[in-house]
Amino acid sequence: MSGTLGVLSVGAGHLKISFNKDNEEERRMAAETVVDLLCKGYVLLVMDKEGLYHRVDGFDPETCEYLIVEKNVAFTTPTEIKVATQEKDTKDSADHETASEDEGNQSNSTQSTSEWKQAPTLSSDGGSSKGIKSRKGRKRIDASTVSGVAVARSSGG
Amino acid sequence: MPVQSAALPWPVLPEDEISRLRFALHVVSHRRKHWAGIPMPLDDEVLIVEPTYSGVKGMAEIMPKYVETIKNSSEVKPEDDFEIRNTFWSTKYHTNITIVEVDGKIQHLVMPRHTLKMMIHTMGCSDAWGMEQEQQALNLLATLISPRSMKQYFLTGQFLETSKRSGIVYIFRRLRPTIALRSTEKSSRILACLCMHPIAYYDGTWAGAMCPTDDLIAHLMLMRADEHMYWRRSNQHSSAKIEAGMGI
Repeated sequence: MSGTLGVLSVGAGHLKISFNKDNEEERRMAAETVVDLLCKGYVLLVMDKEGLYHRVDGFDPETCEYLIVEKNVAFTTPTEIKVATQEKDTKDSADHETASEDEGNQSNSTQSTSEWKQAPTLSSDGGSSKGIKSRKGRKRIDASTVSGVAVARSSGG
Repeated sequence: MPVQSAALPWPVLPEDEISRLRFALHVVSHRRKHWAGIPMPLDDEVLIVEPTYSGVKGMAEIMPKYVETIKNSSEVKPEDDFEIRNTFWSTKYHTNITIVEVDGKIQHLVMPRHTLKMMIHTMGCSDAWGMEQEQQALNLLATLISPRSMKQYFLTGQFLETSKRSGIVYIFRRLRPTIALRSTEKSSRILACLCMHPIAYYDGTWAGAMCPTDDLIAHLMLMRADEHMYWRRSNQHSSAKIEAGMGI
């Protein structure tokens, strides 16, 4: 069995790269192409054995393995973030009023509202979006066992 | 007598000049390691390209009439006989209102409420794609979705899939933006219509540089693998807008 990667292409259909374990030359060329794709900003999306899809974060040309950053992130759309921010603001201002009555400390409450506004737009089980990019939890997937698709940079729409 | 192809269920069309150009561009792009190919400029259409993509570097300078980068396309272009002062969306009329200055006088234009122009231009963009590429893309799509979804796509040009991560329902459509819905037991709400084309697209159309199903595969795969990136990379159109392709 050899894993394949289809590069979505404009010209004559998509380009297929295969990682054949029996063909060292083909494997080496495939590895070079994948490294080049990542350098040029392509997004590599692969499906693992469990049927889950991942975005490839890096590639090890020596072992022909995709490097995946495992994320456990709850997705929230921009509209929902806006609503959540408004709700939080309302809650904060209510808390602020209570705090002002109790302690008369206005500055602390204002700071907490601004902190929320600057908070990462992703709600993450593992912490902030900064933490997602850390090297922790990197998973390796053998390129010769999975299939995937590479997508070039987006021009919008 | 047309020759029947084994791969395609329809007669092979005679080769035209555009198909030869497409093949030539493919050969050049492969030699130069532009893996996603070189998008094809078309007469009467403006190609908006991703400025950092190496395969299109310099195209906008060589063919300024046909190719623009994203940066240039947002700039207001001076017109000979009138100047555009402002454009805004009218919720009342469900269309864009453009304020123009003609001979020193301010006037307003109500833009068309229908999508006929976009539909016709999108149809014209089919010159850029080959049926072989579309066939290949369909073969790939068939490996990614269920047979029922594939049948729906083949027959109606759309299928839906629910995100395992967020629970958002996406309606993937051929040559139209993907509709994102939040469904509850009581009701459904359209969140946005997501429009995204890898490398390039033709301005004022729903057509990308890639064949329609390849564009759709890009949407599907990004949604499955990285929903955040999918939303970030897409233009999020309101469902009321013409660009959303919801049939106003």
